[in-house]
Amino acid sequence: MSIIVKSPGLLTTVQDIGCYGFQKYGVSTYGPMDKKAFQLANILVGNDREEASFEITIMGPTLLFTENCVIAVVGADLGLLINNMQVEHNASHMIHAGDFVSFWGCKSGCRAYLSVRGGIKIEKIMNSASTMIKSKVGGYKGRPLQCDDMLELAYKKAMFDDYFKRKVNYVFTKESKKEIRVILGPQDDRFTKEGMETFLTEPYGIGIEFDRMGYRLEGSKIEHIAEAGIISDGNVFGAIQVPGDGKPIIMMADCASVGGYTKIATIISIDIPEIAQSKTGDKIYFKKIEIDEAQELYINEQKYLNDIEEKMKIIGNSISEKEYSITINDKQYSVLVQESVNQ
Amino acid sequence: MKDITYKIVGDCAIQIEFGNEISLDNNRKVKMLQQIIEQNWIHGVVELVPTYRSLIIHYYPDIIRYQELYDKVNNMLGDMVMTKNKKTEIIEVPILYGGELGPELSVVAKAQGISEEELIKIHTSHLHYIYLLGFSPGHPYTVRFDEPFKIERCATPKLNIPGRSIVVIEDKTNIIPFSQPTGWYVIGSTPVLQTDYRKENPFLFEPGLWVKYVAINQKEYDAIKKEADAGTYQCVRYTKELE
Repeated sequence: MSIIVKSPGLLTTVQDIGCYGFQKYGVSTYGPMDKKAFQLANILVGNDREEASFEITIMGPTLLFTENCVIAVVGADLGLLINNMQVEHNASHMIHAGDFVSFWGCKSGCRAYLSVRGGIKIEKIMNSASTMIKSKVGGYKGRPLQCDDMLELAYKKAMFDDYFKRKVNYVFTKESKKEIRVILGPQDDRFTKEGMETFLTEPYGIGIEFDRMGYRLEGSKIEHIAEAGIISDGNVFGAIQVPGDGKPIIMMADCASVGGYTKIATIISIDIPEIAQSKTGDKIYFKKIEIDEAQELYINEQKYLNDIEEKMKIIGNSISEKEYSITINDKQYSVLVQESVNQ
Repeated sequence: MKDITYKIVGDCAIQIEFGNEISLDNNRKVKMLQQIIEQNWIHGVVELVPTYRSLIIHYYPDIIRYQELYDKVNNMLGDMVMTKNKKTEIIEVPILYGGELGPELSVVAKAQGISEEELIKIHTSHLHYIYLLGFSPGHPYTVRFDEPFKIERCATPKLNIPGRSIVVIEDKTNIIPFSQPTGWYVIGSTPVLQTDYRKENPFLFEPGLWVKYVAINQKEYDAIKKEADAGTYQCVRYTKELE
């Protein structure tokens, strides 16, 4: 084994980029709530951007590593510690066999992603390594991590010698008022003019129910023209559903693939991480933008991620590692030799 | 083709709606557009999700932009002709009606004012159509177009109805893959597994398929269940011309 869970934290799950192609069978897409932080964590350790990683929620786990490796933690600042020493988050770190990785507490945000160079060994279901909590399949044993779980690295990848200078600038809005951009629809025509104005001007607070399925919002009631039911249609990650009580619910990564309530708007992809990093009490405002602008922003973000990935490829030299067993005066010693290889 | 509405669903999906009601006709248009796209896959499209009268197309905007996808789908719809081909795929689902696993068979029969045997006859003699799968993985919503039951959803949902249960109201029948709450009536149980994660495609059903429910006895139930649990049972499946 390579990683032993000494304490699981509040909710730590294995997620890869998600499960696609099975929504027509009633399967949600799952995957990371904050896709940006998730991908950046993988990029930092030189993994495929879609590789299985840990999604850590508010209170982090304590993990014992039994193998040398490189890790990165990106997203919420949950107070990352290595052997009880505070270290930088949004950065990569060298881990030696016997090291403990833990978190002392949430400073800002809600979810962080821990990627291990080489990825975590997970048997895929429906081409995905993501944990499908409600269905109890996928990820590690179909459930969040528990004490004494043992996980293995997917494959041993050469180390690199610049792990200590690999950092990313990951920012999310830390003020308690976030502006969330949306595209109206698909059922925006089912609301009164006043209802739409309420939605686009009033603040909405994250309620006490916020999880991987959805975020219930508190605030002014959004008025429908008539009833809130529709002929059930497809749900997407980021859709804002308004049932009969007029209180919006944001559909998140584990939401049902089909739903029967009006959806007033859909959050643009690059703003979904802002929701994923929000928790009870945070306030948001919705701002309407058009599809063209939203897709420009999406393309720019992809380009930004591609650029960082390219840059990371260039700066590092890989390290070759050799382990020797030496006997001196009848005592056996294990010696690890690391050598930087110029490419 | 008339009565088509395009809807923007965020920056990564587009929804095409046919008509304004749940009908076999509208759903066939959904299925036909789905088939056309499946046969002429558009680069950048991630997946298609059909529901009662709409199809959602998920796509990557960095590969294909909204307007380009809209134009392509619009062209496909322009060329789409509803064929008279009534060939339908039918799957047989064995059911053990009544008893411990179908405790409310008598309730539904009573509401209908007929015997349990007559109720089973209604349920097994008409084909049921799968409009969509949802609620949980592999969970189908099936409907028959004749002889609806005179019973509506009950006000208080029952908790923990076991997987394999057959539940009904009105003209609708659902097959429950995993334990869940329901306000519908449990009239029987199927020995087959509709969601089996050991398989590459874990799902027995798909939208657009017709289901024929077949009554079996306890002995048959036990034998099929044994095979299904071992992962070797195959449901009878065939194509038929429907009138």
